[in-house]
Amino acid sequence: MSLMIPCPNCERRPAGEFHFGGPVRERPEPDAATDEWIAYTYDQPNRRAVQWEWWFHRGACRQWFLVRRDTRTNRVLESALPGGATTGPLEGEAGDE
Amino acid sequence: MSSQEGFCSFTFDGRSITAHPGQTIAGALHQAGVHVLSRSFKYHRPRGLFCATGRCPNCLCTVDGDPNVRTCVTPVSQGMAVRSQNAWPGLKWDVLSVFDRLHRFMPVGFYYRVMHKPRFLWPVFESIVRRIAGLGRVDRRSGGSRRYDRQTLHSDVVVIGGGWAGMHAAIAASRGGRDVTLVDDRENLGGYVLFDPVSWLDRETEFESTVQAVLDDPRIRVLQSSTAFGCYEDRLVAVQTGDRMIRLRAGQVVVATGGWEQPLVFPGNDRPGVMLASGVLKMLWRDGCRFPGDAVVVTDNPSGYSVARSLEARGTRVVAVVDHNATPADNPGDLPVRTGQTIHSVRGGRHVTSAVIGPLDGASSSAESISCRWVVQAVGFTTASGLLAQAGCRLVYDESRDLFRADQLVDGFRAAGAVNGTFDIDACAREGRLAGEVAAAGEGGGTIDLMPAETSPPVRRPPDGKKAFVCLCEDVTDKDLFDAVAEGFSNIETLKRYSTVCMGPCQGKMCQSGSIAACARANGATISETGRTTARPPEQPVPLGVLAGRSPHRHLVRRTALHDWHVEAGAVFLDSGAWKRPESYGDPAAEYEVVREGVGLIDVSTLGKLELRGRDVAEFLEFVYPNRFAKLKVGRVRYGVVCDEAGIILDDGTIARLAADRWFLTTTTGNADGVDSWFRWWLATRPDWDIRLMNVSGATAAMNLAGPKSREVLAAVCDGDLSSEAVPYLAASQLTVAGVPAIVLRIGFVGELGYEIHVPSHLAEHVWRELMAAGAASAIRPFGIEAQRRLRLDKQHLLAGQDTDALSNPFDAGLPWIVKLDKPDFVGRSALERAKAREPGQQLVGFRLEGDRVPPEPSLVLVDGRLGGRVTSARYSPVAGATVGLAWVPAESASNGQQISIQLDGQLVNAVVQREPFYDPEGARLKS
Repeated sequence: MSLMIPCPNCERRPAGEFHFGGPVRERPEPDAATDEWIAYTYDQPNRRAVQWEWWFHRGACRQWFLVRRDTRTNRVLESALPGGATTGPLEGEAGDE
Repeated sequence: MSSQEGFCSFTFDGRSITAHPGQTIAGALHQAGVHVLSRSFKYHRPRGLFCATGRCPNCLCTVDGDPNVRTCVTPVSQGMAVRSQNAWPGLKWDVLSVFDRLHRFMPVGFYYRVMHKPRFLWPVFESIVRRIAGLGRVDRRSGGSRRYDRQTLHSDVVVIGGGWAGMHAAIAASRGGRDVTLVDDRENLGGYVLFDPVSWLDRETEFESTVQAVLDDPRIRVLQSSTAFGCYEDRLVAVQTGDRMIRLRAGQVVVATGGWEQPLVFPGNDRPGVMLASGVLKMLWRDGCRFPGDAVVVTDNPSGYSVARSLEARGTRVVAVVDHNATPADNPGDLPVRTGQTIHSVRGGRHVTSAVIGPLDGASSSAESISCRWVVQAVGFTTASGLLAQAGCRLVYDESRDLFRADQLVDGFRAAGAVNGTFDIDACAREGRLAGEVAAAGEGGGTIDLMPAETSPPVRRPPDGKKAFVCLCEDVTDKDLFDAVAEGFSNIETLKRYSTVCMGPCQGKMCQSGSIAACARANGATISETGRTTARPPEQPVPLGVLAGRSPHRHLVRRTALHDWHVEAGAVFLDSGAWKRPESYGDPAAEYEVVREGVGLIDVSTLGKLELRGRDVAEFLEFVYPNRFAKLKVGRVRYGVVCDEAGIILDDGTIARLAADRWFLTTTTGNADGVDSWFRWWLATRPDWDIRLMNVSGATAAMNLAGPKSREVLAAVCDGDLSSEAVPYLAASQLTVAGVPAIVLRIGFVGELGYEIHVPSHLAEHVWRELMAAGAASAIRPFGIEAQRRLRLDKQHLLAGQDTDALSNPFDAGLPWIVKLDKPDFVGRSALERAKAREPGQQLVGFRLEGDRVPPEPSLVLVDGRLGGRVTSARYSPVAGATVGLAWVPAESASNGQQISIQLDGQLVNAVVQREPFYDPEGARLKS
């Protein structure tokens, strides 16, 4: 793949070195309703938005980190070490999943 | 057959042809009087040189076994064997040219509607269609010896296109201090200038010094005969050169790919003898060709007059220059000019015999037929902006220039020259310089503002009559496109897919404007409203071998620290993913026996091994496993199963506590990386946990000493009390083995007294040899994976990934005791709660099959004649005296004594479910 991902440890590397871990999501409370758990387990959000997402550098430092990407244009805006990311879309069509 | 002064000879369909030095195949054929070079795709009409610059499909031949070679841009080499394509028995008379007369029965899209009834005849139709479809034939035997290559290059600035604009861009970028890669698809730099050196005669020195400046510049790397066929994200440019693919990563890209001359659409426009002006110029001045006979030139700009003069200079009689404009576009001199007229049609079969010339707007009554051999068109260019479109640049229709060009560039891109719709030489140089400077400054992107051209937009006469070809590659006529629009395919994208226009080898170079114009006319819309289809790579057809790379592919191979010992011992190896593991040392049955009766040693270094240290490891393990670990005592090991949030088994392994805050985990070989990544993700979500995870899989080697005599063998190389009280079953001890600090886990995958010994990899061979020496007296043997498989099957121990799959949860897999639902929260808790409450589905159980025929893994399980499950593991077991295995069976059949049927060699054989292990069900041997 040709897209470049800026790993916080290793700098920009081609996307083929990474594994995509999905958008950042909040895990339901253990006693949350069944429907909420089912949605969390089986429904993957697929937003048209700028979102924080998890990426894993399996080809090098083998660390998980966060990437802020605009899924509409596939542009990677920034990356960060874990901690402090939001779970919902940052901008874009809310509810457009 | 030696060459005389550079002259060489080649064969064309068996006929010997002589070529001048440096001449292209098509040029040599032209001089030899061969003007029919191929038969068209659908109607098998005779075709000859048309664009002569490598853009159309007419000259495609098979050269030395390579199909679909563009002979108009391929130089001759001595002894080449060139064969025509798509014609049988020969080019001159092709049996399938009957299709040309049957065109009424082969309208656009006809194959969607015929040949599928009657159904029983479809295999017949299919074999016929396969034989006659396509262009050229692939020699399936030749692929093996071809060496396809791959190269990765990086460059600050990449300039695509080595014409006048491109060269200036490269020089400017280099002057800006950047390293530059200039990619050009021809053998020499110069682009369009190479076709028309006559117009450049007074600037020859300037041209030559520019080329030399590029070649001499140490910061400019020139890739000649290299086609940039794709532009991917983050400015990765894919380039094909010969049998090599170059992945070229650019900081900035300047696209100077020029343009393609466009044809007019009129009946008979595909006859040999109808050509484009740029191709004619190239053949006159670069290919040593002449065009004897009469020629008609159709034009709407000065270039037509220039080509007419060139033709006259080289012996052609130009009988008419047909100018669309009311007044001549250039000084005609002696040329016979007809103004305000255009070409209506061409007559001829294997060659043009006459052209019908008439008024620009309709009225064929005042048309005149002029006898001629050549019809040359010079009616304008379109831009080669496919790469810009691929990169995401927006293309708009420029009405004044009648072409699509980019007006919004994405970051990192600039465009210069004819690709912008700029055809003035000095303007091209200026644009090139500017683009190079901007690229060197790293500021590519932005809008392109072009003044509308001063000339008025060109007028085209809509074709009337049949066989006015829009697409030469796929034989799509103007009428076909109208019919398709009438059928409802009015959008340019669906029109393309339904009619296959623009989908042939030229990929729209010759036919895109014609198809858009036809679509617009049929819809009564403007060209701007019609738009153009999405540009996708490859821009130029690329052999699959080039995309695939080297064959055979390089395979990653992983070897354990004990590999050389295994080789010396005569191991037969098995590929387990990338790992090489000993399947056996020649006699798996004997290896099995020795573990049951004596002692054996197996290399299990491929297992994943993770070390976790920290205050919160116990809490983490409680969370990420369904079973309990918080109270696991120091010095103990426990079997565990990792599940995901859906309650599905991801992996199984062991968890050992070496100290209060030091844990040592093992995983299966195949999931080592996966479990490591899974754990790391959970840790990343909880930076508050005090946990450090270290993947010591490679640094640590492991071997399993197993069998009733294993204790005495281990005792020989290990100080310390190895009695059953000191080191009981499920103990995790830190011992010194053969002088090396080791972690020793008393676990029992194979069902015997055994010790899994983990030592640093660099000391593994030493420890192994010491163990083998110590065990000599007990007749120790190394044993491999095959014996291990048989041993564990006796105990019904599952192999994660073989006996389980993406639907297996611990309840169904026979491990209900592992799921502690009373824990407040753990990964998969919600799903496992629901699974427990549900009606059980298929269950993993052991089975026993009388006899020694072993069903393959997998085999089908049937219950009462209905499909019920599958066998996942099966082997003959000496201790059970029968074939045993593990299978998924319906819940109703999952208890002891139930009968199931297994499909074996096409028959159904009966088996009995047995849930207890086939050997030592109490585990006495394990715990001894």
